[in-house]
Amino acid sequence: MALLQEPIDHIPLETGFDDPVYESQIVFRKILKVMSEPGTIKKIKNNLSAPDPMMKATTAVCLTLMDFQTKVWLDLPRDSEVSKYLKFHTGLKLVEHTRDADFVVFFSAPDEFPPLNLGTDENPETAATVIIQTQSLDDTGKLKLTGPGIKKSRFLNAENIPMSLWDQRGKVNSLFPKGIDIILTSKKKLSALPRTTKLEMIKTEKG
Amino acid sequence: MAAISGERKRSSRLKEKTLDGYNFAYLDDQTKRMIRRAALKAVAIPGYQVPFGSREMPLPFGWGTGGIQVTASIIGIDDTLKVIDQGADDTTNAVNIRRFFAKTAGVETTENTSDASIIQTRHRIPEVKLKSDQIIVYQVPIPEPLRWIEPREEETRKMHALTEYGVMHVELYENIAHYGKVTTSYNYPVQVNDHYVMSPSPIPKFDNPKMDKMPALQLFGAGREKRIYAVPPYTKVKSLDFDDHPFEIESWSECCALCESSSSFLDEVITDDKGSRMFVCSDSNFCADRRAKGHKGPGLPRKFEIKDIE
Repeated sequence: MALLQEPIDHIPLETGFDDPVYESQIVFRKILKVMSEPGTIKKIKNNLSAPDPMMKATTAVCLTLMDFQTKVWLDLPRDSEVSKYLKFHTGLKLVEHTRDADFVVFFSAPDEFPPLNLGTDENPETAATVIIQTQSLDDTGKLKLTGPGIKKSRFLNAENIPMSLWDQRGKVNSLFPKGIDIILTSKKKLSALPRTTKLEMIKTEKG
Repeated sequence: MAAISGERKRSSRLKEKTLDGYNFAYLDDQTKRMIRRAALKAVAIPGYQVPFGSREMPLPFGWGTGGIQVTASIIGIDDTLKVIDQGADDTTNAVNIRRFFAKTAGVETTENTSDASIIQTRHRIPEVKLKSDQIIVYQVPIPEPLRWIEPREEETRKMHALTEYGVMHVELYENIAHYGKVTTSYNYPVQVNDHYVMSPSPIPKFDNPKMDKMPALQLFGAGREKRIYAVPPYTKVKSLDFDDHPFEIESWSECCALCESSSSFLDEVITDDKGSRMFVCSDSNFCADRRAKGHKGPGLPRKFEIKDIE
């Protein structure tokens, strides 16, 4: 349907999943794992070639979760290669304002979130899922995670994400059940921070 | 070219295993994506019932269509599936659902709880402790624990949003006032992560403590009522109670007549019309496992040996 509304004038060279049914299931299970056990890191092994600056994990997540029913906002222009690629492979609806989007994708982390759909107290599931692509992702510290899905605590380090963003996330998610769920991607790696996860900044000796 | 090689890859692994002319795991991919998105939100908001577009399945609502749709959306060819109905692997509902996925998804099936990566269940949690990386999918008839107290969806949504659960406690209190104790024995309401009150599906309250901080992911599907909800691993699940009337589980003075277990949930089986009865484990896999290890219950024939029937 979306295909009829917005005709595709450009067919990208980059391919999607070789086998969408089989591969999207594998990717989904990894997303489910990191979302239900925040801070765990999973690796995407699919053979994907997406246009720059979209990394493999980001591509896999988008191809798995998006379709003509999802409204998506990208921090890239509408006529960018990435927009064309995703539009062709998923049929998603691109929206102009972040607050209208079900999925908000940042290919580089912003200093602060633009206005996002936080859902409502009665329907918190309508809130946006935010996908942030970072330079590196590991479990070496900086962020201490506690909450549902975590036995005691877990550590996560996402490069190039300003602390101000985590502060803002904390404020937004204090409105629980309203809030935003974040999927972090870096190269082939994948992790997630649902709204219930509490973050604590670990101060290193260097400050 | 990519499409052709993908086709080849899929067909080589699946073709001989799955039913020709059907989608992998029955549901089409568009439906699966919709259910997957709902499941992710359910995991992100533990205990909250996420609405989803429940599809018509090849069996009527009330036969586990919610659980089947959730399982169909998460299952892959490398999974091993176990299906139980009231604890047993060999009852009609369990056998049918297991065959359904063996045919449409070509997955391995098992009766052994520890070997399964996905366990779909109707009204029980297995006796064996579930592990991390396992997923348990509950079939849910009525997902809304407040429905019998407040029939209006608009109101129950507000009550959930504001954690306004006073009426639920009044219900339990009235029970205590009438009978001296809480008489709810199954579908006993729980509170998840100190916020949402949730229906654990009609499992006996004996199973409620197993939900608390369970290492496995718990997903709930209600097909007729079109709701999916979830409890992530290691999440606090508390059965509602009062300080002076703490939550209690059932206990039996008998042990299992077949395997002599005194720690499992027992079903009462009437054996004749003169009042004879025996108690046996509801978890058939747990019971068989114990018998294989040499445990013998008082209900087995005295000189019964396995070699007698061989």
